[in-house]
Amino acid sequence: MRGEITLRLGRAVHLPIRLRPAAVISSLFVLLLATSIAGLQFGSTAIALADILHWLFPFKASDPETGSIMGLRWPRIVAALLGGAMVAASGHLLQIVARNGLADPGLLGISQGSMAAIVIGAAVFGLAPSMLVWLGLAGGFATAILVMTLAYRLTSSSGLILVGLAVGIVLIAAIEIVMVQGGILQFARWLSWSHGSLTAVSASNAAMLILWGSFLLPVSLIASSKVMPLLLGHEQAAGIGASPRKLSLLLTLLAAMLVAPVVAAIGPISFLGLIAAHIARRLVGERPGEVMPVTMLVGALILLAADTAGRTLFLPVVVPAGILISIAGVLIFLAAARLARPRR
Amino acid sequence: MPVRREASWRPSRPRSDRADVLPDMTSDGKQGGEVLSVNELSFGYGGNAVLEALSLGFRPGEFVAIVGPNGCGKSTLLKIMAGLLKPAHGSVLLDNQPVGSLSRKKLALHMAMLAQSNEAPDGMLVADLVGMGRYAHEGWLSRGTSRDRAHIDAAMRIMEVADLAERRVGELSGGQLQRCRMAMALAQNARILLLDEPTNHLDLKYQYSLLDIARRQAAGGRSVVAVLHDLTLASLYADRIILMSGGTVVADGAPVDVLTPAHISAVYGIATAAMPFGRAVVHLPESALE
Repeated sequence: MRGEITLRLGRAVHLPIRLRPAAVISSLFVLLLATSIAGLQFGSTAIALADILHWLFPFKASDPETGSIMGLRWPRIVAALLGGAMVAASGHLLQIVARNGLADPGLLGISQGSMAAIVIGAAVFGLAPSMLVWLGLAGGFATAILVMTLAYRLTSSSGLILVGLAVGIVLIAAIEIVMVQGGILQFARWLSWSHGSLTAVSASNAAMLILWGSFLLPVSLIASSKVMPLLLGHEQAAGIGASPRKLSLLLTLLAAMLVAPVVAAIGPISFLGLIAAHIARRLVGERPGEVMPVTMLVGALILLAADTAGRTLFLPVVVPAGILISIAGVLIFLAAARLARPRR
Repeated sequence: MPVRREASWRPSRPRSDRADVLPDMTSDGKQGGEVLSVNELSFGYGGNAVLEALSLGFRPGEFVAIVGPNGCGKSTLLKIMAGLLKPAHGSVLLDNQPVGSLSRKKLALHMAMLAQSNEAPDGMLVADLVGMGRYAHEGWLSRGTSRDRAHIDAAMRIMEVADLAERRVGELSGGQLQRCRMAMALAQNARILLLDEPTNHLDLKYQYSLLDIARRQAAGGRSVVAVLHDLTLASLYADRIILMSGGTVVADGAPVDVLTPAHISAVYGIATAAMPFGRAVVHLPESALE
C-alpha cells in the first residue's frame, strides 16, 4: 500500500527536523497527484493519459465518451480525497483529545453514531439528504460525548477503546433492526454503505464534501496549531494557561463534524484515522500543527489508493475501499498497540 | 554576543537588583503582603473530607514547603490553589481576587504550576515542551517573539537542559525530563510557582540543584510553594514549612519550629531523634538508632 511506502521513505531518508514537514508535505502532494491521475485513468475502461489531460484542460472540447466516463470518475476521486482527509483529521483530533494513539472515529463509535442518526432519519422519518448530514453530525457528537463520559473514570488508555467499541456495536445493532424492516434490497445497499464504499458516490455527494471540506479542513489546520498543551495532560495544560476541558469539547465537536458528511456520502471508514495519524507522526514527529496537514494528505492518499485498487485490481469483483482499509488497519492497529511504550 | 537582559535570570545574581531580575513580573509593589491566600478552605472527594477549614497566606520572596504523610491533602491543596479543583467551601485569593474568577490564561500569567506526573508524548521535542511555558503569553498572531525566546533560553540555561533542546522526550532519563518540565514552568515567568513533588525522579545532585533554583527564584521576589516528601531537604531549602495531617495544618513556620520530634510523632506516628544541622533538621527514627 502507498502508506507503507511513505513510511519506509521517512525512515530511510534522514532530513533535518525543520525541513522534514515541508519535504514530506510536498512529496505527499506529488504522490496524491499521481494517484489521482491513475484513478482517472484506470477502471473498467482504461483511458489514455493524453485524453485525461485533454479533458482536464478547460475551454477545450474533448471526446464526449471520455467526458462521460470522467463525469463518473471525478466525483469518486474528489470524494476519496476529501473524505480521506476529513476522516484522518478527525482521527488525529480524537487522538489528541483522548491522549490515546489508538483513537479513531470508527473505533470510538462516532462513525456509528452518525450512521445510526442518518439511518433513523432517512428510514423512519424520511428526511431529505441535505438534512441527513446535520443529523449525522448530532448523532456523532452525542456518541462522542457519551463514550468519553463513560470512559472518563477508566484511567487506562484501552478503556476508552473498549467503551467506544461497545457503544459502536450497540449502535450497529440498532441500525440493523431498522434496516431489516426495509427489505432485502435496501439491506444489501446498506451493507455496502456500512463498509465504506465509494461506488455510489454522485457529483452531488462530491459537491457536499467540497462544501464541508473547504470549511472544516482549514479550521482543523488552524485548530491543530493551538492544541499542543493538551498533549501534556489536562492538569499541566491548565497550569500553562490552556483550558483543557473547553478545548477538548471543541475538538470533539470538530472531529464529529469532520466525520458526519463523510459517513453520509461514503459510509464509515474505520481505522483510516488511526493509520493516517500514526504514519504522519512517524514522518514528522509530534507537533500537532505539522502532523495535521500530513495526516490529511496521508488519509486522502490511503482512501484514494484503496478505492482505486479495490475497483481495478480484482475486476470484475469490486472490493469496497473500507474493507481494504480495515484489513490494513487491523494490522497497523496491532503493530501500534504492540509498539506503544508504557508511560513513565 | 550581546548580554541579554534576561541573562539576569541566572541564579548567581545577587537579590539586590530585583527590578532587573523580574523584568515583566506584574507586581503591584505590595512587598511583604500576601499574593496568595487560602481562606477557610474545605474540600472533599465524594463525601470524604480531604481538607478542612484551611487558612494560609503566601508572600513574595518566600519559599514554602508543604510536607506531610501520603493522603494528607498536600497535592489537593496545591491543585485548589492552582485553580484546578473547585473548593467546596472557602476561597483562594490571588491579590484579593478569587482564583476561580480568573480565566486560565490570565491565571497562568501570574502562577506557574508543575504537575506531579508527566504525560508529554515520547515524540515531543524538548524545545517544544519548554516552549509551551510561553503559552499564556502568546496571542493568535504573536508567537515566538524575541521575549518568548529569551525566557525559554534563560529557563533552559538555569535548568541545564539547553543541550537537550533537539532531543525527544522519549529519549530522556526521568531526571532530564523532570528538569525540562521545570524549565517549562520557569519559562512561564510567573510570580507564583507551585511545584507538586518537583524532586521526583531526580538524583541527589539535581534534587539539591532544583531546590536551590527554587530558593533563588523566591529570593528574586517570587512566591514558591512546593509539595515535598523529604523533610531534610525541605528544612534545608525552604524558608517556611507547612506540616499537614488529615487535611489540616499541624504546624506552620520556620523549619526548626515545625520539624520537632513532637510534631513528627503526632503526624507520622513514629518516634524520631532530631538533629539540627546548620539550618537543616535531620530526623532519624529511634527504632533504628537503638
